[in-house]
Parts: sequence; C-alpha cells; structure tokens
Amino acid sequence: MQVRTLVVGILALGLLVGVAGLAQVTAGSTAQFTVPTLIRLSLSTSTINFGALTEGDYDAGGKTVLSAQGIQIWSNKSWALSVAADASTWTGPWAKPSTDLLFQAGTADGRVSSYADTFTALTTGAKKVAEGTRGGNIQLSMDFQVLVSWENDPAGDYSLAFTYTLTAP
Amino acid sequence: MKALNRRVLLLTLFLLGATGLAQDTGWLSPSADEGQFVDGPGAHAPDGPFAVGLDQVHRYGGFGIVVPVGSEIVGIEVLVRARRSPTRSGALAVELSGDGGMTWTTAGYTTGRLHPVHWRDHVLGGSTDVWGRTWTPGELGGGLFWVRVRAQGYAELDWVAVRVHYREGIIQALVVTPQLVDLGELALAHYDAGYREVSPAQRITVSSATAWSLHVAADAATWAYTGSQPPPGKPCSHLEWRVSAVGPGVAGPQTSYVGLSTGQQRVAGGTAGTGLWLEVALRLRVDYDTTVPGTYELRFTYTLTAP
Repeated sequence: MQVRTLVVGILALGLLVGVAGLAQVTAGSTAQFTVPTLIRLSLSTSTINFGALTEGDYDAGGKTVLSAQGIQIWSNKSWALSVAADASTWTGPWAKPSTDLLFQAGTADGRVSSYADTFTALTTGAKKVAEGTRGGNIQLSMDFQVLVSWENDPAGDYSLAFTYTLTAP
Repeated sequence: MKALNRRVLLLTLFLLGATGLAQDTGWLSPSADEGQFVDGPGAHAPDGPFAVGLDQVHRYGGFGIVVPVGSEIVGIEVLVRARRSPTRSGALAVELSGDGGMTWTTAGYTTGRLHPVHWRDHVLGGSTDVWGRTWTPGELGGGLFWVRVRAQGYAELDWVAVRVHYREGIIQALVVTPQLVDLGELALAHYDAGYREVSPAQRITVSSATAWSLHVAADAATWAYTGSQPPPGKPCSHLEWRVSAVGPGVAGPQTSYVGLSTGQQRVAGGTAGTGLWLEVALRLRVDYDTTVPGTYELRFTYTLTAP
C-alpha cells in the first residue's frame, strides 16, 4: 500500500513538470508556383507517301493509306487540333486542287472528346481534326486518301504541304 | 518492492533532468557598500579586515550576479561570517532589495546570537527561499540588488556573500530561410518527369536548451489556386519534402520524400544546442489532372517542440 502511494505521487509530479516545461516555437512558410498554358504536338512522320499509283487506283477513283501518320498531343488545358493545306493546289503536272487530299482521324483515347471520323477534304481554311481535354501523350491516328481520275491526273510527281495547328484557347 | 522503488526513483530523476534542474551562481562577494558600519569594505572578502556595527545599518551591493534571461529565480541565500565581542551581545538581521534600495524584503532573517569569539558562517534564506517575493534576473544585476545588514547590538562582519538559485528557462529559436519558396514556372518537362524538385529549398536553424523535435504540417488540405480554370483542388500532399542535409546535433531526419499533410509530420530531432541546422528539399508533384494553368500557393508551418 505504501509503495502504491509512492508510485502515484511521483508519476503525478513527473506529469506536472513535463507540462510546465513544454515549449513550442513555430515558423510559417509558403510555397508557390506558376503554370502557364503548355502544349506540345508531335508527329510520327512528316511525309505521307502514297507511292506510285496503279491502274487499279485510277479505276477506284483514289488511294487510301490507313494509319499513315501518328499524332501525339500534350496539353495542360483543353485543346483543339486543326489542319489546313499550305496552298490551294498541289504542285505537279497540273493545278490539282488541295481538296483531292482527304483525311480522317481515329483514336481510342478517352481524353479525345470528338474527332473527324469521316474523310474530310483539305482546304487552305482550317479543318477540325480533333479536340479534347488536358493530358499528356494523347494519341491520334491519321488516315489519308488521295482522289485521282483518268481525266484529270496525268502521270507525274505531285506534292501538297499541309500544317497542323494545336491550340489551347 | 525495493526494485520498484528504485525504478520509480530513476523515472523521477529522468523527468527532472529533462526539464532542467535548478542551478546556482556560487557564492558571490560584494564590490560596493555604504552605510554606518566602521570599515564597511572589510566584509567584501573572507578573512583579513572586517566591518564593525553597533546598532547600525549598512548595505552591500555589486555582487555581479548573472542569471540567464528567462530563468526563474527559485532561491536566494545570504552568507554572513560574523561574531560579536565576549562582553557584548550581538546579532545581525538581513534584508534584500531588487530596486536599488527603494524597497526591502519584509521577511525577517536574523543570525540569532553571534558567537562571542570565533567567526561563524550563518546562511540566511535557502535554495528554495525567495524571501517573500518573486525576483527577475534583471533585478539581481545592474546595481539594483543590495543586501542590507542591520547590527542588533555589537557585531563584527568578516564577509557577506550571496548565492542565487535559478532554473534556466527553455529558450528555443527556429529560423527558416527562405520563408517563401518559389518553385517557379512549370514547363512540359516537369509534366513529363512528374515533378519539379528544389534541393535544398530551405535551411532550418534550431537553437534549444533541451532536446527538441521538429515537425511540419500544411496549413490547408489543398493549394490555393488563382486562374481561369475551375479550381483543381491540388492536394497539399503534392508538395513532398525530405531532409537533404543535416549538421551535428541533428538526429533521425526524414530523408525520404513524404507528401505534406495537415497532420504533424516529424522532420528531425536533436540534442540541446545552438545553431543546429538542417536543409529541406521540396518536390512538387505535377500532373495534368491537378496542375492546370494558373498560380498556386500553399502555406505550411514548422513547429519546434521541447517536451
């Protein structure tokens, strides 16, 4: 009984001393940073080569190249991708209109909210390719189609430059 | 039973030690005096000349008492080495002043009847006796502290000395530089990497009279956002921290990255000392979900404790 009293008394003393001696100092800090609008566009290839067209291509009215180009997009904001021909006509044997080149996009990426899923003719005016929400390494696959006819397209080399524009309004 | 008592005693000693035992100044002699005693300076030091009082009053000062600021005065002792004449009765009464002699303690302390032949040391007050009032370290220095000796009858005074008992206050200091950590402007490379790191971001300097522990916590669960986008609710855990370097006296630092939280997280601990330092690296988690264009700010607080 005597020992128990001693234990309780001394523990109580220890508690009181500990509380009385408790000291605390604080110092505040702040971290800050800024995020600008950041976008990046990457193409798997810059050239779409249809190769040498055949009689069959002429008979079919054109040639299609699927998954001819891969597009990767990085954006920390909602984005829109468009494409336009650099000129209204191809360079080559005759003034073949840019609208003889058509494109369509494909993707399984959920961050792409809409895209041109049917072939669309290229013009010098911007045509929507796709749009979507922010994210990194967003992937699109591009199909191209060139229209040819026996009447209009003599033999020769043809080329048409076009430009993609990625915006994050 | 004995073993239990021993353990309890050890526990008690540990607790007292952790909070600081009382210290004392040692016996300090006066360097100044004034009053009615004959040869008053004779009591400045033991042996040799002595002062003589006959129903007179004299006071002594200039003890050079130095007590650390913030300390608690827990006791004052006054030693008087005195005797009387074999043919005369005599005693000495002592009072203290902490305001240069304007006021004096009211509690009476006397030597009682002095020895008629031999010098005897009389210690008045005690290690836990503050003479009926509270004292501050400032009242004991700077010429404010005086001991008044009143001869009741005939007394010879060889030495008067003072010893002050105090308990040092727990003095702590915490300095964090810089207080504002600017993580700058993010680039796509930071999104690619998944983070932006600044190392070292802050240098923390600790001074503590006792063992200490340093913690950190975010002031809010999410970063404050300013911008044109809907607030992304970037969590405070996206600010990760770790101790990247420490100096001597710092123990147990958190050396791997942890996300900041609103709960206290232990940064490091250490032993008593001054100018103890550690450096903290910060890493910002960057992702497309919670890091949209705009500006972000997060406040967080370091807490130094000495339990």
